[in-house]
Amino acid sequence: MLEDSRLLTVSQLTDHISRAIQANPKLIDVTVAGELSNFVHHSSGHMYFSLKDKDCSIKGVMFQTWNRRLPFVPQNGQHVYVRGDVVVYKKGGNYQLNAYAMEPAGQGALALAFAQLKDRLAAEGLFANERKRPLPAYPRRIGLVTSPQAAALQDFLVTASQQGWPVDFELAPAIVQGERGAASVVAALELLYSRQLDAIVITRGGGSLEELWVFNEEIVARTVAASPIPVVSAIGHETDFTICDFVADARAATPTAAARLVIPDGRRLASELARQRRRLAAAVAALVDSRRSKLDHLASRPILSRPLQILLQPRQNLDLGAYRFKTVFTRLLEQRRHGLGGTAARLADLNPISVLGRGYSIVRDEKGIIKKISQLMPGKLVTIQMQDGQAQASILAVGGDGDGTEI
Amino acid sequence: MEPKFEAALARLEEIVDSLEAGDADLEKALKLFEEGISLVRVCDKQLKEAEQKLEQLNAQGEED
Repeated sequence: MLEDSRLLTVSQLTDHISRAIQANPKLIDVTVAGELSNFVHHSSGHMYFSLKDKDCSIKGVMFQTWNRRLPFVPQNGQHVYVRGDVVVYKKGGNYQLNAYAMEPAGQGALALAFAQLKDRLAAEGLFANERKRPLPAYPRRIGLVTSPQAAALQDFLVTASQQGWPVDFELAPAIVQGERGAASVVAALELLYSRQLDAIVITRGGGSLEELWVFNEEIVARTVAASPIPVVSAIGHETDFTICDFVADARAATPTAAARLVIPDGRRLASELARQRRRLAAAVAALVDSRRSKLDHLASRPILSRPLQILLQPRQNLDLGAYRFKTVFTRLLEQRRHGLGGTAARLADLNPISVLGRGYSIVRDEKGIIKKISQLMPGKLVTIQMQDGQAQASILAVGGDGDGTEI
Repeated sequence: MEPKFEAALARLEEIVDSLEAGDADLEKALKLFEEGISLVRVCDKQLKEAEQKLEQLNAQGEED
């Protein structure tokens, strides 16, 4: 028996088995459904695992070449579809599944990858509300990251121009789909980070999860999170959410919504301004009016509008005083006049003219009144004054005792 | 220098109150009245200026 011509080495036998398996089309490029266990992502970069169902188990390996493309992180207990070839691991003497693709069962790989990255970044706090910066109320320069050919850009610009607010745009063109997308979007963002901008808008039209995948890539999410400028993310339609949306400072459902979000409504601002101006004018006018009415009120107080009132009391006092004075004075005057009566009569008696009334006459010459006979001589012309007139006379003779005068 | 409007108005009110009370002697009353009339004039002038300025500014505002 030891000389049996069919004696084989272990290697020969293993080769036979290996070839037999490789020759079987049912074991080549198969897709196997199973639950992951013993999963190890080795430091070499390769992934090792077992795939099992209720009764059986098969070892598996996914080399780095392949697992590099895996969007999600496989986990023990996960139900997956693994596609690969059955091969013999000659050194270990066992067969295994050489996997080149893996997908979570039940949901797509991308959906799972999305959920996993979202959970991880959320745990890091990258979506936290405290990180979100307010958008500038009155932006002047806005950066745009999008595909220059995309309808999204047109939608955004049309709406922006209708806002009635002057704003400049800086477009950083990017590939927004496919394998080169993430690097392109990152480069575009980093270009804009060096510019003086008030806000950055990343936008892209709607698409499938695969088409929007660029915006679920970790490198894009982290670049957005590191932005020195507030970022608005407007990827896809209302129902599409991307990791980029979560990490951005603000999310807009569509490119059009992004334009309305980031650019103020110029007409509303103008009417608000007009309203404030009217308030201002009304407030100042009210202030002036109230002063005016207070002044008018004061000025029309009787004391100022009929100022003679001030003099009323003094006038009354004066009138009373004057009346009393007059009364007293009149009486005084009467008394005086009365007292004066005798004196006046006496004074009248002294008037020489009044003596003439009693029959006396006054004789004058050119020098004055003749008081002595010695002042006369015959032939002298004299004037005789009586009470009602005078006469010229010539002296006929002069005697010692009043006779011998002749006219 | 003209007094500030509010100060002038307050003084005017004081004067009117005092005159209405009628407790000032004639000479004092006349002095107060004179001061009051001059305050009315000052206040009125300041208000007219303010009103004109307002109209002017409003007109400018409408043109913008």
